[in-house]
Amino acid sequence: MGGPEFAIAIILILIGLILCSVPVVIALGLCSFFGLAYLTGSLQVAGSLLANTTYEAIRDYVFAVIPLFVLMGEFISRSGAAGDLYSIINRSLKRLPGRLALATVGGNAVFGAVTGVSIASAAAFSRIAYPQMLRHNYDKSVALGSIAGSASLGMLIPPSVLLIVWGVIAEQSIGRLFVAGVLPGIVLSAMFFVFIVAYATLRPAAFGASSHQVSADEIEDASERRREIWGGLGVAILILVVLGGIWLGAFTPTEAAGVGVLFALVLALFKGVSLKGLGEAVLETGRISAPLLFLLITAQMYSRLLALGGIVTFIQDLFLSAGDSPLMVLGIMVLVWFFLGMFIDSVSIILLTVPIFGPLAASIGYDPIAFAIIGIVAIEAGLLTPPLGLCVYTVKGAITDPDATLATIFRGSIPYWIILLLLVALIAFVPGVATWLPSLM
Amino acid sequence: MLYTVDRLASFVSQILKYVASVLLILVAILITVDVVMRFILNMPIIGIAEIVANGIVVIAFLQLGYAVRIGGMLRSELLPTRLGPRGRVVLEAVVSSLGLLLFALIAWASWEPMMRAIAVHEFEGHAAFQVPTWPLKSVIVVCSILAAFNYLLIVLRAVLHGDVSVEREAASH
Repeated sequence: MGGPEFAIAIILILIGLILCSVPVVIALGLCSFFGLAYLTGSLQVAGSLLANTTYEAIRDYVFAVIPLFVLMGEFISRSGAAGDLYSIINRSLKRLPGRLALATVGGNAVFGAVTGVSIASAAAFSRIAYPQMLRHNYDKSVALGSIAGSASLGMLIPPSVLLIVWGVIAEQSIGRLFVAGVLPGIVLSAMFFVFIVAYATLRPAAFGASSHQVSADEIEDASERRREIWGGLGVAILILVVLGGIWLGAFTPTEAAGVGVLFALVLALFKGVSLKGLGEAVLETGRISAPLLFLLITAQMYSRLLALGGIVTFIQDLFLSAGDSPLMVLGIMVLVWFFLGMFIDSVSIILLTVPIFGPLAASIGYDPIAFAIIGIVAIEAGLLTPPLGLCVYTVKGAITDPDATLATIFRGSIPYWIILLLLVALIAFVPGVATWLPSLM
Repeated sequence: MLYTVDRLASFVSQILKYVASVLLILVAILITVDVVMRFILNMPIIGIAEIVANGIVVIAFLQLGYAVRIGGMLRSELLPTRLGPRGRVVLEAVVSSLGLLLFALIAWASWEPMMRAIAVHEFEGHAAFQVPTWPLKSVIVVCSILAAFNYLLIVLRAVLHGDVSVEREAASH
């Protein structure tokens, strides 16, 4: 058992390494190995823990969900489903102010139900929605903000890589977490909708009200429409099969992912994705999911260190000495997440903090499922804030407009992360938003 | 010389990446077949959970060498964007040495268990379905050595040539 000095030293070294741009996997792995070697006084013992963790940590049926859901999302992305959804929703919202921004939110919500990573949505909608918004004279900051902001829906709405990783780290059922993400995802979309309609009513100029060439680009031929409808229908069925199957208990998340992959493959073939495109989807999946799986391996080493080194107790005492009101403790956690979100990606944040925060939240009376959703929404907010908002950088990378600077996108995203923090508060006060649906399973 | 070795390591890493991609598709097919068999014929495939579980570890490790080469490991980009070219070379060399250390440690620690698994023909799983453990343990050791070697190449390239470019991704959007 290490004392408080040990806990402080480990945390400082870890944060120092990560800030010095050492990949999180390596920082976690090395800190854990040498920390355990110090605690047990033996390199041999630490070595056998390392070998054992490498062999056992992700050797479980459940971990197949990560590559499989990523692959499903890749197939769907390449089938052009995001564009179909956008057009369909866009057409059905004809009379509302801020229609193109609303269609972006709606498209993201539905697209999020078939992909697991925000980045995919941010990139797709930058290419689909932004050119249209420009044509309709949208204010650039407003337009890009709506794209970056609504990409956060993808991480909350299942299947989501963040929900999976949270479930693994906090030892919660992934199926239940998926179901728990549905209602908050709908609430969040509704909040974005209300915000955009209100904003567009107050400042119509920012949403291109002065332009009247609207009808020009909306005359499309019927065959294109039919293709779009088929794409939308395919996505709808996929969502029903995957989420419905999990909710009804017909599938485990892994089975739903496996079936979803083959269904998405059929849809992609039907929509005319080339063999080369399919091959790229598989390779891209490896590129995204392999580092995630390795993070999970080293994260398990790290949780052994946390337990053996008494670090969890140390930090919990620290938090509880700051105040024992649950809201106060939650407030500090949200601050920590928000702060970490400025430097590192969401998965790494979950791996670093959840083994410590999870038990702490449970001990002050938060429902673990509600806490997971709170955490993910708070971490999502960090994806939109400077200096390293990942969604913002993705949007920037996906468009070529030189006027669209990072500062412009960050400015446009501000309302969206404020709304995300409002949702955090909402679930903190009314946990039922997250826990009601899973309680019906 | 260094670049010849580098191209060879790149080639091997790419091949393993393709093998992993094929395995991933096989896992998806296997799971679907299992679901169909269970729902329609009420006849689940025995040992599917073991196969998938071991397969995922193999897939992850086969991708490792490539992930290292393209700088795919998630990291904070705050510092590198603020450093000059000289600073980035030093940073890259130090960071990659740490990567080399970690994967060398994993290979070292996993060596004994692998030799033992081969020597005693170790098996694992339920009574109805037994899997030998040596293939997975060998994959872990071999791929960790490849990852460590790729990190070594990055260090050498940075130190000897001041070259910190990462491998271009084959799959572009």
